[in-house]
Amino acid sequence: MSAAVPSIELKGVRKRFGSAVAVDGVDLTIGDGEFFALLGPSGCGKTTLLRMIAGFEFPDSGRVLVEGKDVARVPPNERPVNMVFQHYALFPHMTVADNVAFGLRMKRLPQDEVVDRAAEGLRTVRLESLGGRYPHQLSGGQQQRVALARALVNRPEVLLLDEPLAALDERLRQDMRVELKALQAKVGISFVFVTHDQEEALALADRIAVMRAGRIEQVGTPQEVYEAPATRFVADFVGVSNLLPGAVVEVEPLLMEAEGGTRRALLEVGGLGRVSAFLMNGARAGDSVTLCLRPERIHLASDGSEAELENRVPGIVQSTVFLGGEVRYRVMTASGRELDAHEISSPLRPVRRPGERVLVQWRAEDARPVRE
Amino acid sequence: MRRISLLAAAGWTTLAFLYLPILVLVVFSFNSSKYGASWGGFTWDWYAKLFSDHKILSSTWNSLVVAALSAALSTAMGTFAAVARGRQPTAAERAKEAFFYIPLIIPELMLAVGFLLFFGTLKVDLGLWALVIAHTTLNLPIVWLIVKARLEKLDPRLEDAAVDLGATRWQALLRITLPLLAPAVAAGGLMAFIISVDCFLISFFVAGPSTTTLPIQIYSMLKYAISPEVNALSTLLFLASLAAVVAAWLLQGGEDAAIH
Repeated sequence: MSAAVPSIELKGVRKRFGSAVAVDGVDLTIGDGEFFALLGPSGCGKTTLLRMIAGFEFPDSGRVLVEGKDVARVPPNERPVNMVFQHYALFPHMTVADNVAFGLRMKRLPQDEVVDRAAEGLRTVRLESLGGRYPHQLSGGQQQRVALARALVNRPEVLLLDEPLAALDERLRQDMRVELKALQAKVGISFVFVTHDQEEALALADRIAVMRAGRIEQVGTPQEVYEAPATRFVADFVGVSNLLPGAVVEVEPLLMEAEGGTRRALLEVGGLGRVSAFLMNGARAGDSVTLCLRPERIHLASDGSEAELENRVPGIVQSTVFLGGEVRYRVMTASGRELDAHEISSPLRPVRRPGERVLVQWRAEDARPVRE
Repeated sequence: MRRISLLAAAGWTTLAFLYLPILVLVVFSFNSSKYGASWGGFTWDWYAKLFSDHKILSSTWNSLVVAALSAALSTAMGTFAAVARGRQPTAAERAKEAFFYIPLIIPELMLAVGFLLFFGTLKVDLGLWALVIAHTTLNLPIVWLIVKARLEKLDPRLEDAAVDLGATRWQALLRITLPLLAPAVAAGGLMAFIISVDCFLISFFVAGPSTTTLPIQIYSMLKYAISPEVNALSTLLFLASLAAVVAAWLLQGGEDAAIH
């Protein structure tokens, strides 16, 4: 459990099913005590990756290390990891207490220890009074907590969770997020979960790996993945983006040390004209880039008002959706480009009507160039 | 309203069509008049006679022994075959599976002749064991189908969860899958039992002279006339079958409540 040994290391892991490549060369290191998300659309290989860590699939090539030990060929029942399955997979013919005690009984622990640890497990998830019930007598949230207790009583090195909140309704999901996060802090082991819900990944994880077609597109903290998406796919999959293809016109010589190696540049973007943004080192005039502009970073000003931000493009409001806390506009620029702009609503700022002329503005640092 | 009463009428007509012959049989089993179709008053006599008829008692015993043995064998084999099958079979595997239930649609007469030849070739004596083997074949597809249907409804993650918690695949099968299959296994066994008890054609071919089963006994009693005793016996057989089918149906219904 020393800090030097990561919980999980994947090295060049590949897996195919028939002719379909599920995981196509994944390298990943998950630190001790980390809450880690594998995020991606269905079929991106995230579940296969999780099942390889659990031992239900063996990689065709590459290494899977848990706590520094290569387990690529070790069956699931001999690995120091436990899993919370999608839809929980609670044993319907056993009581909650027997479900939770199952793993301890399989290890042939003495009966008093089984009883004590199962009771302790139920206390951890605040279900101590429901040990005698059957799973179908519990609510979805309670079933989820039984599944957590059933896995955690085995004291795994790593807890794996397959779409842990997908089966819950929206309200309960919000509550369980808070609860899961608190539980992970309490038990202190690494949690690795698979989700297709970017909001869930952002809300829960310390770090996120965004996957696409069997490969990892980007690994980073929620803020990194959201604010500095590495690729067009990440920008599109995590949050909402205006993705604007363009080309570099001129790179300014000024070095922005604080920005970690980025340089201010002038871009020509179709439908917007010339805009300024920060580029990664190495970009040259003539390179093509895609600009990722988040809708909430756009400020709309009334036509004719004083411009405040450095990038500004005139446009006309196409549609308005008032959502209470937020107003969502779609704006058409003068040269025919549609942009989504989300503004926090305010009693001091009237909701703009379709047809209204506006000035679309944003700061240079709020638009990110991304790779294709 | 009119349409509903028409539909109801159609429903009752269909039911009458299905059950009137059986109803007639049941009614006449209580008829004190021995001959003809005239009603001579209510009596339990024919039922009482059944229980003192040595031939009927011994053929009932034969039927029960054959049914119990063949149901046990076919239930074990059918359950094993269903569990051994993969959870998500490919199209080719599904096609091969057809061989498990083709016996259900093969004309029974063909099976019966087939068994007669088969036992003759292998020099197996016709009689109790030949009956058990033939009935096991007849029952196997039913058990397999019932258990397979139940297995397909089980979440495959249940077994994975058991293995994840430290069980071997074998322990997961014994502690998770088989207990969850139990209602279907019991229902399959009951169906197998009653199909065996009711089976006439195959039994008639392979029973041999020494091992008369109940349906064969009834048939032999019919050679001269339909006696009220036969009616009484058939009524009991009908009630036993009905009870078994209802029990199997309840078992399969009850299982769903526990899972969902």
